[in-house]
Amino acid sequence: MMNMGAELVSPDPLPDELLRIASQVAEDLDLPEAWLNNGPSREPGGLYQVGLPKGIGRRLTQRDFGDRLTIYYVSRIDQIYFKVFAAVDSGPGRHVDDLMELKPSPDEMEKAALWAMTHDRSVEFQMVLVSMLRQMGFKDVAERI
Amino acid sequence: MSLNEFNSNLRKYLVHFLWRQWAQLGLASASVEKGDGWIIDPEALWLFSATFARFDARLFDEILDWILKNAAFINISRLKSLARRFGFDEMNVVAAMAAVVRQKNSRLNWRFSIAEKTGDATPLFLDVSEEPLPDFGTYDETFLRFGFKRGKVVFRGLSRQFNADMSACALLRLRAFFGINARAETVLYLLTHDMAHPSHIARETGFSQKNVQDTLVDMSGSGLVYQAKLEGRKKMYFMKKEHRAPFLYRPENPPQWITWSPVFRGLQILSNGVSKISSQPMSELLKAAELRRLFGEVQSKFEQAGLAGLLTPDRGSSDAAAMASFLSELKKFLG
Repeated sequence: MMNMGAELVSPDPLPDELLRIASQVAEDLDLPEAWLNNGPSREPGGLYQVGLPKGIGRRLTQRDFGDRLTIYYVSRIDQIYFKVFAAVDSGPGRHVDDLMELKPSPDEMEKAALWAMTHDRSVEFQMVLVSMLRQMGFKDVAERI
Repeated sequence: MSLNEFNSNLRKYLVHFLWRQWAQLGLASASVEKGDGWIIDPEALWLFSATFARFDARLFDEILDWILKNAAFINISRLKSLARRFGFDEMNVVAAMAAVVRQKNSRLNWRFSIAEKTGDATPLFLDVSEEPLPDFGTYDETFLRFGFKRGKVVFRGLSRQFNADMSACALLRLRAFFGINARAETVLYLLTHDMAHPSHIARETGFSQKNVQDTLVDMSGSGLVYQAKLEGRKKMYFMKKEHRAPFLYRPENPPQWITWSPVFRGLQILSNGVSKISSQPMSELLKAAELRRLFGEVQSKFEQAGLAGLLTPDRGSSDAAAMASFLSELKKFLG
């Protein structure tokens, strides 16, 4: 989430006003109540809380919708960072699919893997990460990390 | 077009088709690109998805989420009956899906008589050329019991209850009114046809003829369902147009009835068959003969749904032309 000074700020908790409007939109558009949520950055181990990739703010793409709504889209490389972490965390499934769709280069995968390791320093996480990299065809990256 | 190219294209297209069908039922997706105007059969769609949603992990998990949200409107006995009657494959995938949903809703009595696996598990998710997705990490224990390796299932909770005003949801709308029994399908069949014989309704809905017959006899007592004798002693049933209004959202423009089970089973047979032919060492001539035999088998399924011509290539046309023609005709039919 970004404040008026264009700085990234914690999305936990989300502002009451935003939640109130999101709830109204959910009702108007028949969306699930929690359609707008801070799930990935809600707890002490959340992405924002542990640390976002360096420079993520500079890489955001700004899109304005009218005068009052601005949405910042996460860049492709940052999506790779997040998807590597999510894929290792959750095992074979949709995050791996998403990651493959992003077609990361070995260099991008290495950076993402090193970042993911700062979020979970356990040996188990590292072993699964190495296994995933090998399975995805990034054997050299697996060796290097 | 090679057999492998044909199968990859078919799978890609069917994954896209599945997203559109489930989205019309309320599955969380970017948007419903269009309403098809036909009635979606949730049990047939689930059986079909057990094969083709494996090519898209996100779709697969959103389907689980939808099933959990709308479990009260799923007829699991009918699903099993359709699976038996049409011989659907991948029932261990269906059983694993049901088991993982049941864990979240203990009131569901969804059980399948499928032995749990004890040997090696296989990856659940595949790409369209049937290569398994990367296999690593820890697996979901429920799917593992049924012989599949996949990450832990996380229900995102973004599915909605079906929209009763949509044509696609006409059957679910009636189930919400009549309950999970033969009445919803029987009434919907009468609402979308001028008149019908119980045996025909039974064949197209997956219920037994006795069940449909008894239901129609009972419903005749309401004064809303009528009998007519045609062709000697053959009893037909119908509903008058003026009685259709409360049951359909737009009775003047009723949704289209399609008997989905044989269509879906035909497509499942086709994709599995093509995969088998292409993986076996045999001469091109033999492959061509096998492909023609497969087309014949699939065509007979389509004919059960009243669809003729999808798989009847011109005499003398090449296999490549026949496959291209099939994909083109399928897209015209399924949109």
